Amino acid sequence: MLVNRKRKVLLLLLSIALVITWLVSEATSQDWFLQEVYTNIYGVIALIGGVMGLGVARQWGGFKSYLGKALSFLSVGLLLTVLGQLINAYYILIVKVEELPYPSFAEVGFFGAVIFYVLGAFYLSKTIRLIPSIKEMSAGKKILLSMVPVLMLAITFLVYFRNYDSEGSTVAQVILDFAYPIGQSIFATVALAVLFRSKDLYGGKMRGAVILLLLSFMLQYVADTNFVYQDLAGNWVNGGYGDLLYLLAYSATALGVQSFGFPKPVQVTPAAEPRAEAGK
Amino acid sequence: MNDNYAKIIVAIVKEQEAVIGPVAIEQARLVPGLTIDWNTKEATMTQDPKQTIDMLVEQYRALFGKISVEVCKEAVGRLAQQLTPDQMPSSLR
Repeated sequence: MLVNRKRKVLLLLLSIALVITWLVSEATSQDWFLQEVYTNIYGVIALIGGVMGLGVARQWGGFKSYLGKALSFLSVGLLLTVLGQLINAYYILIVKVEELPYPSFAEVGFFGAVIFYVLGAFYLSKTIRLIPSIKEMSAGKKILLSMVPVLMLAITFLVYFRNYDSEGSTVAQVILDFAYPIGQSIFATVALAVLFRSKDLYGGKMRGAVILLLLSFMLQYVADTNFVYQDLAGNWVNGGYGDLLYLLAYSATALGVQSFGFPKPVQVTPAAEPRAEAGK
Repeated sequence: MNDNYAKIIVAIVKEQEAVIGPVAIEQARLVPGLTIDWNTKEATMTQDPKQTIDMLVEQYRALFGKISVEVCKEAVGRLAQQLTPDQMPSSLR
């Protein structure tokens, strides 16, 4: 459908424009104002992607089908991220705090997004019959696949908890400190597991869309892991490369969801005859 | 016999609907010689039923490849046991 194609082009152009803006801003200045403005505007891609994504989810039955649920949860996840960013923007630009409070109301958006991404990944795995396919896999593949969560947990431990010290933290902080990376590991694990199924999508129009979504899960995991890594090392900079990683993750998710925009149905059977009700 | 094939078609579309929503019905309506009334969950065929089912499965395969075919086979389940190997559409073997 042309409208769907136009939407994908719009998202792609917007993403490219934001990446170029970031490159120019990095190359020409380290101006605080520019960096703060950039930090607070790139979420627009998540806002547009989330709103358009809910429309795409409706085409697949919304909450009445596995794929509709997956796309709905991922779209709401994008919108929740925007909510988190808006709350942070409020703290930075209106309240003018020197350091962002944590946890704050922004966690409703950011942690809510993690929960919705996990649900999105779960329903995507149901769409492509991940669990039944694991049962049918050879023992070697099963062993290889079982290494995925182990690997993700190992990365999580090394990046997040190696030097973790909860002294002086509130209970809510400790819970969130653990809940964020565990939630992110879950959807990254599902993404890697789904990759094992990607060869079975050959010949299907939706293969590219599924793979783009998997890429977006991985980018989201990398962006979040980098954020915590930089934050713990004390070198997180608003508008820095960490924000670029988030921009790429949001763009991939928005484009991934939009790629499911259902094209005009086409008869694929060779002996096809045109029917009046076709393409309703 | 046609009744068994009609049941198979309804079972396939139902299972696909759980996965991909209303697109499942749109795809089924594109199959020549197949009429679906989804309010009454009835399917009628005017052409060779085996070929009609093969074309239906192919219509879904165009979306998610082999995974869509697996969904169709799973949907048919016990209904397929009522058919002899000769009566079984090749896409569901």
